Amino acid sequence: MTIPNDTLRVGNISEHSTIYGPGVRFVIWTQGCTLACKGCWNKQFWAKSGTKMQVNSLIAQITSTEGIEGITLLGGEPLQQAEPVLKIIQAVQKLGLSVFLYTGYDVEEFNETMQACFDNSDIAITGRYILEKRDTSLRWRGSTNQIVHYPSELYTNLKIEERNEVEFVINEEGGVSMFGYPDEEMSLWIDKI
Amino acid sequence: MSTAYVQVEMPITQIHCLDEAIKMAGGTWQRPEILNQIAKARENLVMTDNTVNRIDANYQLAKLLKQLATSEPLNSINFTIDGINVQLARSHGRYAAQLSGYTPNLSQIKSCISKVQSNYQVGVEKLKESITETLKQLEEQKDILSSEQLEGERTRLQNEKLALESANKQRVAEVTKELEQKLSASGFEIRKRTIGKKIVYQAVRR
Repeated sequence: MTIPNDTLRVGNISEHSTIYGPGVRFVIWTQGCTLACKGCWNKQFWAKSGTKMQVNSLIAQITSTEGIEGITLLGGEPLQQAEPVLKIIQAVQKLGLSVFLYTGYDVEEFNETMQACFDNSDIAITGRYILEKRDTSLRWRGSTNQIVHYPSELYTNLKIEERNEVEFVINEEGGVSMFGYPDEEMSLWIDKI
Repeated sequence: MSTAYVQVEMPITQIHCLDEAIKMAGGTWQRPEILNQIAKARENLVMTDNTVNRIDANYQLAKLLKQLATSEPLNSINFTIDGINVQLARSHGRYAAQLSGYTPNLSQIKSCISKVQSNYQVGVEKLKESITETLKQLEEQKDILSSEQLEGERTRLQNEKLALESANKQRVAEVTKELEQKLSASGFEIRKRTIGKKIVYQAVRR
């Protein structure tokens, strides 16, 4: 089944996160990925399910979110929905917000639309997650092969201080969600909270 | 051969709705005395035959609901459904029991907990709807009712809400405490922010 270009399959949204790029960011986990990296931490975003969101309503939600520096797209695989993703990137830039893009593809694998998404981003992380190269002390990446690119000039002077970062969100009912790069020990004890 | 342990659990719950949930599942438990007092106060409110008595009954019930909202959650909960006894102790924002994989009736215990939890969610939603609906009705009747009547009804409903939210607040307090302790022990620096009704922890380890 094909999805219209103005619709994005979304797995999750966090409106105010600080661990997927510089500053406070509106984070969108796209739903659907066929890359199937061994040891992937986000297998729940592999299936082509999720919530089908109109690009316009997503942009309206981003516009109405206060206090954000930009958006971050991850997944799932954002570039497997490159057309709606490009629309979002272009709209967000018009709002004066920055774009941080995660993709499991390498630059050499891009088609034209994927390349446009990359070129219009301010920071992009490329490359498969490789379990054997996993390193939780890296900032914004899961494995050492993944590359940080600065397609625009916005963040070229930014110095990345490598560090292990994890974010926890506790909702009003006491439910805990964990994001970022937890080590195995943390993944075990979080289940018991 | 290793022994398998199974954790059975449910979040800290508002005991008034828990009471209803256990009843709906056909179970029994040792109800805390305050629930009996609240039930009596509710009956009195329904039975009132004049405005003065109704105002008084509203305040009595509101007082008890506030007491419920501000009391410590129970340290343990024991209930029986279809002859199966479930004993849970409070720990880190939830009621839990660590049972051996060989505990007789383990699957029935799990089923009882799941039944109570599902009834509980339904009960909470019903109560929320009822509070919203009654507040709306009050708003519509504000020109008919005296200010004292209005104030009495509103106070009761606010405390009804407060009692409902208090269990969640308690759970959030216990969960955040546990999380902060674990993160500090693992060598993380933590930054805590509140966004709307959510608490966000950014944990960094260099």
